[in-house]
Parts: sequence; structure tokens; C-alpha cells
Amino acid sequence: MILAVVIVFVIAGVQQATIARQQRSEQFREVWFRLLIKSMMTAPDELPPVRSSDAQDFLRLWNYLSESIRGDDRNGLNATMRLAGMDRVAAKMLKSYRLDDRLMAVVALGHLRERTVWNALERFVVSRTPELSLAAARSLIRIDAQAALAILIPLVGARTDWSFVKVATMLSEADLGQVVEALAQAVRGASIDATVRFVRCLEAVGSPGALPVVREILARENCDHQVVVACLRCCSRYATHQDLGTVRVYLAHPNHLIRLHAVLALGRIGTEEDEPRLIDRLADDEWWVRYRAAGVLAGFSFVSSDTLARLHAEHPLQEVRDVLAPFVARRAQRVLQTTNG
Amino acid sequence: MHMHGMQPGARPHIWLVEDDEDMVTLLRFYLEREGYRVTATTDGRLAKDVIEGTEPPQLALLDVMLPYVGGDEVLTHIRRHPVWKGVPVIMLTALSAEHSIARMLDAGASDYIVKPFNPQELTARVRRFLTPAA
Repeated sequence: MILAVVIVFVIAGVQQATIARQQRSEQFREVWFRLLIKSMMTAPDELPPVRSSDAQDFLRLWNYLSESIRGDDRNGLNATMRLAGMDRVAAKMLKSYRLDDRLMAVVALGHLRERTVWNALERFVVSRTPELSLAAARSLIRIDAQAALAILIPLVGARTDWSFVKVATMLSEADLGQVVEALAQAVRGASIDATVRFVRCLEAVGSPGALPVVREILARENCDHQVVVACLRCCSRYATHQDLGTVRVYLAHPNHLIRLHAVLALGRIGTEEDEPRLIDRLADDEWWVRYRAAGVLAGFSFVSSDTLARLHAEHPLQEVRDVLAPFVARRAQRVLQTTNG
Repeated sequence: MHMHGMQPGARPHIWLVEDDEDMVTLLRFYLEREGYRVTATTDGRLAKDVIEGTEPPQLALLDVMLPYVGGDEVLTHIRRHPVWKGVPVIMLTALSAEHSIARMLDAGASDYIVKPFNPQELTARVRRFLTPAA
């Protein structure tokens, strides 16, 4: 009985403490959100003190605002962070045993371009926790992009736990020319897996500067299938008519993924001469190749609706007629919409 | 200028459709400071109700990623609405969704702003369509 009463009191106490903590956190948030927003226009002369128990809330808010805006207003935020002494608090938080403390501090110090924590961030980059290592990598880029690329590019090739989207977002904060140059150098002599990752990064960073690298790789003898696929993906985004010959060769490759990506690359650079080649691919053994070939054909303005409709009606293979059906219907709908204004 | 339905001297009304309440506070701060009146709606379904039930604003700032009904669908709804169809709409899009910009402009968006946004760029783009109250 006594034990039950004690447990009830303990639970009630914990609940009260949690509610009080939440309320304090909300009050802090309300005051500081407005203060930080205002500080972006005019740097404040003085600020209310931030208690150590509020450090997490402060950094969460500050990081949110830093990630929401671009331009000169960020300078006001940085000045407020330093005025409140939170740069020193964040540097101490790098040593915290709690992952979310370290993450918030890593992100904040990166936004602040705080050079004094470079060595600590470099240690975090090789952490086995992908969230922490990626956050540290991004902060290094923000502090000194060129120095960071020398450290990070080899890791981009090796860290299979780093998602391409996150890596591309991180690299997009550095100078694009520097990124492409660093990736191009890394590709030379890299393993197959690393080459695939580098080429995928080149594709993801969104630069036509990727093309010379891709051309160099595709000119190699005995290129691995995965590497060819990665290069053709890149061609689908950046290839020029100069690449037509190379891409056309891969249309008849025994590997269906290579044929598929060659078809997609032709969708970008193909000419009227490619119409019969793509019609051949409509009869490919693989459904995805047939489907993409149909989509690419239907997307070409030089392939008339009549040609598509005739293929759909008269092709001897049922699977070709099936795969063309939605594209013929979509073309017809588009024509109808244009006619109706 | 698209200043239809405005009383002389009144603050131009900007309708903000954005599900992130902190982003609403931030955008509201910048826009109100420029002399605009800001109202906000936090999801696509409610946004459609607003379009059906209220007078059009002078400008809409519409996030692409919204709960229930996406920003693209809300935009189409605006462009098909007999009263709202002339409202200038600026789309708010994340950097990672930049590929959707051409589609939004084709669907009738007047302009777009990429998040994270530059406050000066935001107010300049809004000024293209509205003149703030003195």
C-alpha cells in the first residue's frame, strides 16, 4: 500500500517536472524566436541571459532560422549568437555524450563558420553515425570548402551510408567548379564502387562539367556495367549531340539496364535518325526498356501522333501495342486540350 | 499591378499558405514590416475552403509541399476559380524541389521563391505585384 502511494507520488512529481520543463521551453521559444528574428535586421545591444538548461532550445531555434534564410540577414543572427555567448556553449556541447547535443552544436558551429572547432569536426566526419558524420562534413564545407573537399571527397567514395541526396546537398554549398574538379580527380584510379559513387555525385551536383569526366570513363575499355549505367544517367541530364555516337552504341548492349539508360539519354539528345532505333527498342525483351522507349518516342516532337497511332494499331507484337497505349492516349489528350484552347 | 478589390489606403492583403508555423511567423514578420496585411492557412484542404468562402487577397504565397492537398493542386484551384483566377501566386519551393518550378510556372504560378529564402529577394518579388501601404 505504502509502496503504491510512493509510486503515485513519484509519477505525479515526474509529470509535474515534465510539464514545467515544457512550459519553460515554450516561454523561452516564444521570447527568443521574436528576438532572433528582430536581430536579423538590427543587432541588439544586449540580450537576456541564456541559462545552460536552455542551450538546446536556443541552438534549435538558431539553427532553424539559419537554415531558413539566405543573405545578409544571417550576419545579424551570427552576431546575436556570439553576443549571447552561445558560440562557446556550442563548442563545449561538441563534447556532450548526447548525440542530439553534438548534432545541434555541429550544425550551429558550421553556420557560424567557426574555424576553432575544425579539428573536432574533422574527427566527427569519420564517425560511424552517418547523421553526425554528414552534419560535420557539411559544417566543414561551410567553414572552408576547398580544404573540406580534400578531406571529404575520398569519404564520398567510401561511405556507402551517406545518401546521394545528402551528399549532393552538402556539395552544393561549395563552389561547383571546385567540386567537379575534385570529383574528376578522385575518379581516376578509383575502385568500381567508388567510381559509381563519384559519377552519381557528379550527376547529382547538377553541373555540365560532369560531361568530360563521363566521356573519359566511357572511352575506357572494359568499363564495368554499373559504371556505364552511372555515366549514362549523367548523359540523360547533360549530354550534348557530341555524345550521340557513344549513347547509340549502348542501345544494343546485352545488359538491359545499360540499354534502358541509353534510351533515356537519347530522350535528351536523340534526332530523327534515332526514331527507327527507338522503334526497335519497343520490342526489347525487358518491359522497362520497352516502356522507356515508348515514352521517349512519344516525347519527341518529330514523331507524329499518326506514327505513334499506326505503331500502336499495326505492330505485330502485342507487348509493343500494350506499352504504346498510354502514350498514344496521352498524346491524343494533349492534342484535344490544345484544340479546345 | 494586380490590386483589384482594394480600398484606397488599405494595406495590401497577402495570403500565406504554409504548413510550417515557424516559417509562417518568419515570413509574416518580413511582410508585415513592409506594410502588408498577412493571413495564413496551414494546409491545402483548408486553403481550398478559404478560396471557396472568402474574398481573394491581393497576392498569395503558396508552399508547394502542403498536407492533404499539394500546393500545385491549390494553384490549379485558384486558376480555375472565377473570382480568384487573377490573383498573383508566388510559389514557395524547397531547394531540393527546384525541378518542380517549370511545372508550377506552366500551371499558372506568377513567380517562385526558393527556400531557404533571401528576405530582400522575398520583398522585392512581392513588390513586383503589390505596392505596400505607407
